Amino acid sequence: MAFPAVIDTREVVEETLRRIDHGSRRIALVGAPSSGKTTALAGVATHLASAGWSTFRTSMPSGDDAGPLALTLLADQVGSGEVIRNSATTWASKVDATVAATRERAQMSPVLVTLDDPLFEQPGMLPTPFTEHATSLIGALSGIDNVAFIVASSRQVPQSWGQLVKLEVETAADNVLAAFDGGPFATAAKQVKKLGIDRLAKRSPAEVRLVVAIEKSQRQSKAAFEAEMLPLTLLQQALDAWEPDARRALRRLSVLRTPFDDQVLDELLEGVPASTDAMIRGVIVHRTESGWVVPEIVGRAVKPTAWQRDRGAVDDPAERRAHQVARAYHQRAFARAASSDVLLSSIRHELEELHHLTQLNDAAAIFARSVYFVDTYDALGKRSGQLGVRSHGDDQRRLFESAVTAYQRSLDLDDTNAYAHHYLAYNVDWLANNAARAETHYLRALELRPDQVWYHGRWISFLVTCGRVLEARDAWSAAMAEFGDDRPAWLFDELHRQIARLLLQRGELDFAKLVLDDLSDDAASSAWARAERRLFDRLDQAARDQLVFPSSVVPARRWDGPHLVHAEARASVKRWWAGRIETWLNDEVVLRLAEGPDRFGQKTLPASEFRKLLGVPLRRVPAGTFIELVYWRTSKQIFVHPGEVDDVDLPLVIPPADRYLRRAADASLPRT
Amino acid sequence: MPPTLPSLAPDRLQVLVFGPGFGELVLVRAPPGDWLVLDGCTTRDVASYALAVLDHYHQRNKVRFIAMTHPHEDHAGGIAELVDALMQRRNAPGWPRLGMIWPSPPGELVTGDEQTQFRGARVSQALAAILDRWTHKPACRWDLVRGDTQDLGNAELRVLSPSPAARDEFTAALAAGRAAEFDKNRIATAIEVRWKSHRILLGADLVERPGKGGAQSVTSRRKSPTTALPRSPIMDRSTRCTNPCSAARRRPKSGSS
Repeated sequence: MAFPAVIDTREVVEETLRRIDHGSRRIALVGAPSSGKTTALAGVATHLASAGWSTFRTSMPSGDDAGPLALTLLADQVGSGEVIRNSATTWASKVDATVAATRERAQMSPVLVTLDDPLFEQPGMLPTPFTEHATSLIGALSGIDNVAFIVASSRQVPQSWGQLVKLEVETAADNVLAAFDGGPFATAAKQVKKLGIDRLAKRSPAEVRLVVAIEKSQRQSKAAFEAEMLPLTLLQQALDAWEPDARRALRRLSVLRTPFDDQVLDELLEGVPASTDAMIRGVIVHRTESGWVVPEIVGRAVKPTAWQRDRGAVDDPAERRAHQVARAYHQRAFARAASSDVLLSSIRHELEELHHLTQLNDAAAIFARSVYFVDTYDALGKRSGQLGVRSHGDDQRRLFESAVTAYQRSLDLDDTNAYAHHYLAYNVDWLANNAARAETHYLRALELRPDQVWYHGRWISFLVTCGRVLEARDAWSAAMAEFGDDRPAWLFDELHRQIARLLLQRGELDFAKLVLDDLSDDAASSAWARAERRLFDRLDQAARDQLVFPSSVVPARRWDGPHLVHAEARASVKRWWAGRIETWLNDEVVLRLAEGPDRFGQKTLPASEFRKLLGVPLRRVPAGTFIELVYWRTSKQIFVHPGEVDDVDLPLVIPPADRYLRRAADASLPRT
Repeated sequence: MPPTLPSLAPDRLQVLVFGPGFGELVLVRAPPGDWLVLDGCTTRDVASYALAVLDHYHQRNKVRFIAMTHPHEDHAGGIAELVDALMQRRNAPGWPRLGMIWPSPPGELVTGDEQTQFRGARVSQALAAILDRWTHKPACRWDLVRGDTQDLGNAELRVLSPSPAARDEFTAALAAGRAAEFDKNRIATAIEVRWKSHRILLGADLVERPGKGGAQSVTSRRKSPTTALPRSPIMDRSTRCTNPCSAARRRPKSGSS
């Protein structure tokens, strides 16, 4: 957000206006976080509005609702709000209606559309339906003739998109530091000023404030400055210098995506030590006309990335509390805005409340209200499902069922929603109580979106899990045909990795080999691929009844043993066999033994003799344990492997391969 | 396939027993031409000997019954491939009956020993394939309840074991979380094939009652001796056959092959 009166964006505004005058219609303002991009956008819009332009402003917050939120805010300004609110209208129709309304406005006067924090397609990254909505909206708006479209971004903007105007920061550092006069940070601010106003002017206001914080807590601002630290490094140092409470508190505050009021600040800083409270209130967050704001640079440093969020979904109590406080705030703010007829503000608060309800996984609250986009149900289903994967027992079952309900609601609105079809299938598949329903929706999703790699992968995995391997092979061939010869790197990570892992888990070795042999050279050299290849080699031997060595013994050196005998004693070994304990039979033990790569056999020993050869009073050694039977000159001895380590690079099998078997077994047990 | 497979004889009951790889597979062909496949046999190079035999004779569509006598790895190998090949969705109306004892959850993992894990995985795959077909077409389910009889061509199949008591005991062990300790051989299926005057006992790993012969779970009130085929040479090592009487009953009578 902006720092009015502390950052000079005149040059950027003038440059942008100049380009518009010369006919440019797609411009991107790019700069570091908190460098004044939003201020510059506001300046351009204000100037053009005074010249008779119609200006419409929207933004894309971080989150799966980026596209829908941006579209809704814009739609209400250009006049397509009713179409947006019709939940039966598809995303494409809503975008078309908004584009049409914008075009219509452009016939009456020149139009400017501004977008803060656009989400562009990232090359090499696998798109999701949520990101596709966001990027398709940008594409649609970019294509409207006679409309100037300006975005402001601190992330990479595709060079082909439009003209780039780079923001060089010009901070009025004097003004930033003057704000600390008379307060607890005054001395620190004075010290920072000595670093040189000219040098400070090249740092954003948020960075200047961070330097004050470092000076206050460590008295090392000079060192930080001399080191020309990058903003994020500066911030990390500041966070490291404070108590852990500071990072956690800022993380809680960062769940809010809009300015917030005093009550939110008080509630989310409750329990934080006084010094940390003072630091946050006095230096880090700052107050704008609309309320308190956590600077973008701080938010980026303390919040998980979207990737981390998706893969590490946990129900953290502190984060839940933050979302509850945020939700309550937006309810209050909505009520205020609605009663004052401030439409755009009320819409934003309504959508923000939905966002927090989704993060809280509050299905009941979401189901009780009208939603504008199927994305809302999809996001809820996604959150439930992600939490379900990391839960157990009844909690897991309840979360998956909630996800299924959410996706079904989505499909009730739009039966062509491939994402909802697929993930309804996936969650039903996890529950393992209705294979037919899972199959129906897996197939429908593939029919609608055959270009989605996950849809292929999970369908193939489902077939393998159900013992329909021939059909799985056909589905694999279909997937390979779909992606053709020009295969991106993510294909192997998202398709081959899990399928090969499952096939190995179920002993489908020929099919697993087919998949592993299909890896590109780069993919084959990845840690997971090498781990799966190692597992395949061992299972291939197992299928021939020839696997005895543990994975810790390098295959090329297997017969350079015995490995369990001290190196110095090996010269005295006359003969040795490697093997496993096959099974225990009351008072006997059956050993599976090998002496060389071509000589295998079994040996049954009385348990008493086995223990005598072991030489140590071990309790019953479990079946499967690796042993070596060593013949010395006049005696023989058995050595036992102390324990084996899992191959840490081997991917997990997700969902669990035996879920249908366990479910059916449980269902068959008599109820007491 | 080895060149020693006999030709099919339209008026003979034919029994093929396999154990060249890992498993104890029995195929029975009853006139005029219906097949029963009991258990499986597999090697790394031949995924399912049952399928290989059926393909050798071009008899895939003549299979009427498939059964897994119990979920041990030396009986399940090759069953998943057989079921998958014969029981595709597109030919569901013509599916054979598919039998196994249920419930039977996946086996316990023996960590660190991938050979045992691999064998356990093949059992899981067999269970999964059977369960999937049962779910898709309940009519193909064959519960292998003792006393159940089915026609196989001109022959009759009769399920002789496990006893309801053994079955109940297994279920109770499962419910109590003690499945790993329960000897699965005690719930192994035994099937008697009756054709003309012949009776052939097909039973894998049946538990012997020490000193009393017979199987712990099989009871027969018939006074005439039962013609018992030799079990596959690979006998289950966890439950030894110690009764010499069962060895004497292994000599086949003339008329069966």
